[in-house]
Amino acid sequence: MDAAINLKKQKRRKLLTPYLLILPGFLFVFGVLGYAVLYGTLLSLFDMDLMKAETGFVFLDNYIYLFQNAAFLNSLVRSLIFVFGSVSLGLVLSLFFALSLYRATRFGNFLKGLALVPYLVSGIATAVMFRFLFSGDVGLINQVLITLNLDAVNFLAHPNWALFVAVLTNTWFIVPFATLILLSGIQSIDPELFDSATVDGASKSKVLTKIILPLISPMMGISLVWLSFASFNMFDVILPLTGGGPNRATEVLAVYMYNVAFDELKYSLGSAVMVIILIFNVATSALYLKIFNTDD
Amino acid sequence: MKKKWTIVLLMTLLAVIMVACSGGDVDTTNDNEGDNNGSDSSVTNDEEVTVQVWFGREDFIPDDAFETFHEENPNINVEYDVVPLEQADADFLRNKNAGNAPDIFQVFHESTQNLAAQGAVLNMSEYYDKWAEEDPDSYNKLLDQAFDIVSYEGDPYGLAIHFGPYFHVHRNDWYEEVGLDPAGPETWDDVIEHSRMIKDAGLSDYPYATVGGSNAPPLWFSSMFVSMGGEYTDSNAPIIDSEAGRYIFEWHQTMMKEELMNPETIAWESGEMRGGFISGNVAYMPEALNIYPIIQEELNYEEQWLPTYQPVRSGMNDYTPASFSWPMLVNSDTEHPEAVTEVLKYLSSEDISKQVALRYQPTTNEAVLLSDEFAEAHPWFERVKEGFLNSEILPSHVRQPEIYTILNDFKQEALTDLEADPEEVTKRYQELIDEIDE
Repeated sequence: MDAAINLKKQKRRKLLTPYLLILPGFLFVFGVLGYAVLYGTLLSLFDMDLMKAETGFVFLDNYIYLFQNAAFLNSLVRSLIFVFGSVSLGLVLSLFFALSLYRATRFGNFLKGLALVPYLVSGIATAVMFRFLFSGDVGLINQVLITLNLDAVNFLAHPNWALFVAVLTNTWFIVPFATLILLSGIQSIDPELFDSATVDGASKSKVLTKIILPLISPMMGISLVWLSFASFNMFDVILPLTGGGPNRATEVLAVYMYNVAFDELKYSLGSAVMVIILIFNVATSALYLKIFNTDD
Repeated sequence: MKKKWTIVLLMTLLAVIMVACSGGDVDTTNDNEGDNNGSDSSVTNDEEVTVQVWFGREDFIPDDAFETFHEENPNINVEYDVVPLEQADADFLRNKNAGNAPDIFQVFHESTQNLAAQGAVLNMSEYYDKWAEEDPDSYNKLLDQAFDIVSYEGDPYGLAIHFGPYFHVHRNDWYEEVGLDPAGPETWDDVIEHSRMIKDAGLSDYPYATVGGSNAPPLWFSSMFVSMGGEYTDSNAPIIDSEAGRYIFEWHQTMMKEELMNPETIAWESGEMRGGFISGNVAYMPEALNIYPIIQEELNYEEQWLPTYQPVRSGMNDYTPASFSWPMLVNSDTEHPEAVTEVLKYLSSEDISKQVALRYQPTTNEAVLLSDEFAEAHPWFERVKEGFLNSEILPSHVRQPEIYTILNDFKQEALTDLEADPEEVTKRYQELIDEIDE
């Protein structure tokens, strides 16, 4: 009888231990992130505006206002283009870099460290660097174009070009981390599989499409979650790069949220935008994780 | 099933605890509003008080870090910090709701109206009357702007110790080269005409530089609007559906159409504008006094460049230069308004304000502006002295950040939609301003 009770206790302890171990981390994350999300969500139902003394419960009025506001709708469309561009380009580049790093046996660790550098540079420094690169008269890119007898382009003054530069800058910033995720996936593949495929005469493209991609599918999902989450939330690169201009062409949701909350001091409206960004993030993450089933 | 419910219950409990811990203070109303008009608290000689001050930039802090002040006022302890101007008003209001805001804080001048309307700042009339009575010498050294800038409905809510009007600089050597009067343009139409001549002479590819980007508030644009005869409503909203509004739109369109301004102007912040002039690539820019020492490092004053008042719209005789300021405001919750007054007196005193004026921003202390040291450090001041002393602060609405957003959009449209009808555009933007101004 005692032995049975002990066994039961042991089983319960074994079952509970992992949860107990993650509890402090969970509480910390929930305390920091969960508090902000809950408070922000609550705030979005009020009319809290630091420019006004009075406030009140307005329920969904902030959301209704946003979806009738041309500036918000513009930033929503810009955001979707920006995220789609960043995620597409980011995934291709990170896969390319991950494969290259996997194959690079000499100085492998050094190159892996080097690949992380863009991620370690601050957003503002990244923005300033790209501003110099793409500026009209003295920018390196235009100097190259002129040397090649091509017309210079006012990248930052043209709405579509500015959005393109913003996507490039963001991609440069977020790709290293995605590369690391994919690289860890590739490294977890049993090398014998590659050897067997080579012996069987499989081409490199077949190895990529039939072995690597299916086996790193869960990592692709996580990588996509990162790329899309980082792009939806991106503002610290865009603000110093273009300030959301020209003509609001690069005013993505996060920049719009910043302007509304911290320039116009409409905290509740800013919180409503935060909730909308959160919904997009959760929805896209769920979609990626469903497509690239990470449990397998 | 049971497990699921337990998890849901736990999560709910946790959420409730989190919200409860937040204090539930989504209410931004000032509980102390009206409770303290400051009149019942005063500093007696034996009472030790602490005055907390937020400076908006490190450069505004006195060189002696209040050492002299502490010697002269042993019972007042000044504690100071730097909270960037860009976030000072929001940080102040948040701290005020939590009951730990500073006694004095520095903001961009356009925040004054709103903070005063909210009752967040203290009406200092009573203390200034006392100051004028007890120490007329120091009080009278201050220009009217020191009090006007921080006034709301006629009462001062702080003190504007430093301010700077927007003027205009041009390359007088290039003017001579193309046979123009080196004194510079008188009207904005002259600027167009002269820019064409400078461009044709190959002196500059894009003669005019201004801030077109959306990152900065449209201050330069607003100062140009004023010099073009722009007017404001009684509530300080710009009237852009007006002759001046249409003119400023058309003027920018013309400058861009003829490439008299850099095609990238729409992405330019103040750094690019200043860089363009200082590096000798452009002929003009609208700029304030504090930048002139930097210009002087690269271009010789009077030989290569001159400051003037901003040009006016053709048909206008003159205008009153528009200025900008970073006033110190007083928290309406302060328990030591008299000690606060002493601190403001100290910061605006001739010795202290001169230190800042010589190395950073001009002051509202007239004695400093007229001193030999200031004249030596700012030899160009003499040329714009009259306009400087009589300048008026750029009007600011209680919802100024939103007005700025609209003006930035208006400015950017002028720089990009070169075929747009100014009448239609100004009407459209006026409607947006009117919505805010209701």
